[in-house]
Amino acid sequence: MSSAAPSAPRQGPPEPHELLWRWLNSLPIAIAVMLALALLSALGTLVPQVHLLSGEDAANPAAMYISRFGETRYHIIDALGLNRIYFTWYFFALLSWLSVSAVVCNITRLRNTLRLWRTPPVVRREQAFNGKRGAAELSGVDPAKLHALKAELAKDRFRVREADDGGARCVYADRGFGKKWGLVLLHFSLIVLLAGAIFGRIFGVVGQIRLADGEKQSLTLDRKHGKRAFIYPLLDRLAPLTFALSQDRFRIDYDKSIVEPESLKDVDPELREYYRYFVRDFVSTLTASRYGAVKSQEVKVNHPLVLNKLVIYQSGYQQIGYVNVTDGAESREYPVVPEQWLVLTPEGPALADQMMMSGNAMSSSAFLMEQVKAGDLYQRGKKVGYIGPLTIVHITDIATERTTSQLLSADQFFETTLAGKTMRVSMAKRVDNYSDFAYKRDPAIPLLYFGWISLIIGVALSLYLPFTQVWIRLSPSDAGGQTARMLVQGPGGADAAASHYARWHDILRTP
Amino acid sequence: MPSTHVASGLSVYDWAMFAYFGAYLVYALHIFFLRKRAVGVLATVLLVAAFAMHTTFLVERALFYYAQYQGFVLPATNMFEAISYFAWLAVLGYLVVELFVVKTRTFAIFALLLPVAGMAYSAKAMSTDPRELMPSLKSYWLVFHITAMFMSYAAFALAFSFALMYILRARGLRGMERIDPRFNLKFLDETANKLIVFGFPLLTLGIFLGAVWADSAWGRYWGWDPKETWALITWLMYLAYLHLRLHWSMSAYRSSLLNVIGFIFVLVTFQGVNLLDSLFKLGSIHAYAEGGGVFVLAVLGLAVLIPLVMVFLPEPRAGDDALKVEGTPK
Repeated sequence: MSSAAPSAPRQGPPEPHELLWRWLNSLPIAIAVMLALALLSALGTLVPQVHLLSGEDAANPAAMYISRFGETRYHIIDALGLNRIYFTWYFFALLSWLSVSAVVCNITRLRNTLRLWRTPPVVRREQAFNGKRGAAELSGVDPAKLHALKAELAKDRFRVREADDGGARCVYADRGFGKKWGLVLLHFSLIVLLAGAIFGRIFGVVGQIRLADGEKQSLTLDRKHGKRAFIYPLLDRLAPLTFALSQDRFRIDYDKSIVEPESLKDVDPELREYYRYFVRDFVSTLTASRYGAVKSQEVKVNHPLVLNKLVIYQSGYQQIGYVNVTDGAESREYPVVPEQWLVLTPEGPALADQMMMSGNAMSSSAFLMEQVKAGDLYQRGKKVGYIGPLTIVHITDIATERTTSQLLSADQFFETTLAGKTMRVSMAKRVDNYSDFAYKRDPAIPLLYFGWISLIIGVALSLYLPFTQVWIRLSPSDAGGQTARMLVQGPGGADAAASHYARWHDILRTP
Repeated sequence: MPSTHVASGLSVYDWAMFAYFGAYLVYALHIFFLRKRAVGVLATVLLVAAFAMHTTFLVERALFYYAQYQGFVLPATNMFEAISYFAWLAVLGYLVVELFVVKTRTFAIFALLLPVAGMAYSAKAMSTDPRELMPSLKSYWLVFHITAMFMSYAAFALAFSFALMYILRARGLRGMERIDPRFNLKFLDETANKLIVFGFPLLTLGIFLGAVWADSAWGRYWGWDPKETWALITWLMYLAYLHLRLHWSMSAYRSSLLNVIGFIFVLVTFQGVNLLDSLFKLGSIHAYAEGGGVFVLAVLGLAVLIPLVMVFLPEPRAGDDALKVEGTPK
């Protein structure tokens, strides 16, 4: 942002468009907008944002907000848009102001930079040296030595210009002009970034899809999803995009920690094994096709599949194991849902969450099972076997409130007797794996990357490159001979200027 | 197997922490009581020894990850390791500045405070065990993103220490005159500014690399995740600082106060987001979701509020008068 708006001397109050231009070019206003954006962004990290919710909270956000903040406060939060602050009109308005301000500022900056580049201010009047901090004066100068000084400046990578001003010789030199271009690039990149973000938001498509092992699905991109209605006319002209997806294979690979964590030292050795297995990777062998273009590859985190600008990412997985509960002759299969209880009562088994526990009869047992683990096992990067289905079951006797834990695998079972009935719980061999994908088609990505790279180059040039300007004016002095008035503006301030003057003094002074 | 941790006794990390602490005490002794050169050299030697032990720990941890995952993993994959890696970079930065740039030890007590405190906090409050790696962390972007971010944080930490020295000196705090007389207000202000100028492009680069990584791992380059948002807020804060400094000629004293606020924002980005996440259940998907507590959050809040209020208070008379006197070249 430039520090001062261009203002022509005029009578009366400024016209509205002049005022607007001045405001858009104003550094204090730009900083105030930046700080307001920062403040609103910070506020957005204190109130959970709808787009970041997951699971049940995402399915019913209002219930989550009411349970956390109460109904009145939720209505206030919702009315002010604090739960979706980054997508509110006022956040967008501030961003828009900043971007238009960047455009206006950049026009001014570009104009000034081009002017300085094409027609540098070579002539500097005597009065402009007088009283200027860091300016120096040198008498008894040999005018014939000026070319030596110019050569010295050129040797120091200065761009040198010379002009006559009446009877005086004026030399202007500058070095590090890249800083000026860097500042132009920096502001330009902010515009590109914002334009890219808006373009991507309008024409981009994001979504999620879940595929079971071996499943095939057709994916039609819904360009209007999550967008405002006024954008629809722009999107209606675009041809629909449909892709065929085939999940050829999905596997969840496990790794075994080569070191036993300190936290497991008090855990039963049998259970310890279970805890040492962790998911190493979840990998889909996915085939995507559209109009004859086919691509098949392993998709895993950090390794997306790209086809016709559609990028498909491995975003998650779900592994569901089952337990068999045999009650006499009848055997039923129940999914193992972590954090959900399997409650056995004399009437039969039932799934329940923790809240319902208190309502159960005293003559019952409850089992809390951990995530089932099943898949290829790796160690030190090599496949060493297969684990699972495996889980840990925490058995709570509700009457005594005692809990014991045991490992449950496909060839293990345990029994419990309730009201004279014996129930056997064993691990089923069945495991269902689901692969979650996020997909995106964002035509603005190249624009955004260009903007980011421009921003980094612009910031680096404008901050790391020093820009130095030199003015020298040689004019006849009243006492006879020539006097050189010199001014250096740039980094290092007066100290750097003084060292320049000392060198030039030796060059210019008549022997 | 590398001895990444031992079940009993002290690990190399603990030894490094004690050595850092010892070095810090010797630096303080040297700065305030014993200005003999030998004491200063002893402090530096102790610090270098601690740094070597810390480096050994990082190498051991990287070797462990190599053995486990058959690939290089930067040991900065959880909050404990992140603090450790940040402390390592900050000490490295300090050593480079002490030995090659300003060639003095007099700012050690400020510059080393955070790394030493961070090491002690991480060793005491967090599990030092290596953790399971999320698949998204197995990426070469981790090295570039984290290193760029932490190098900028280390530069901002050093800038913060110079700004703090400036403020204390400008306010005429007793005892400050014992600090190196070369550390006049002009020098402190310029050094702090240079460090911010060095760190800001790195922060920009780090955020960009994080966006590229997020795009390849999660399918979006920007998701307004609390960690990302606070990184942006920090970036905006330093952007405002640079604009005010370069175009509005903000005084050195107020710049120093903004510098302090900026660094508090760095701390919020680094640590505070985890506190916010644990308190408000924001749902950050970043890996460093550990630590927490209202007390720490309140301290961070006050740390922002106090200098923010001071920005609008009248400047101390000694501040810029002294700057003009001391800054005038002879």
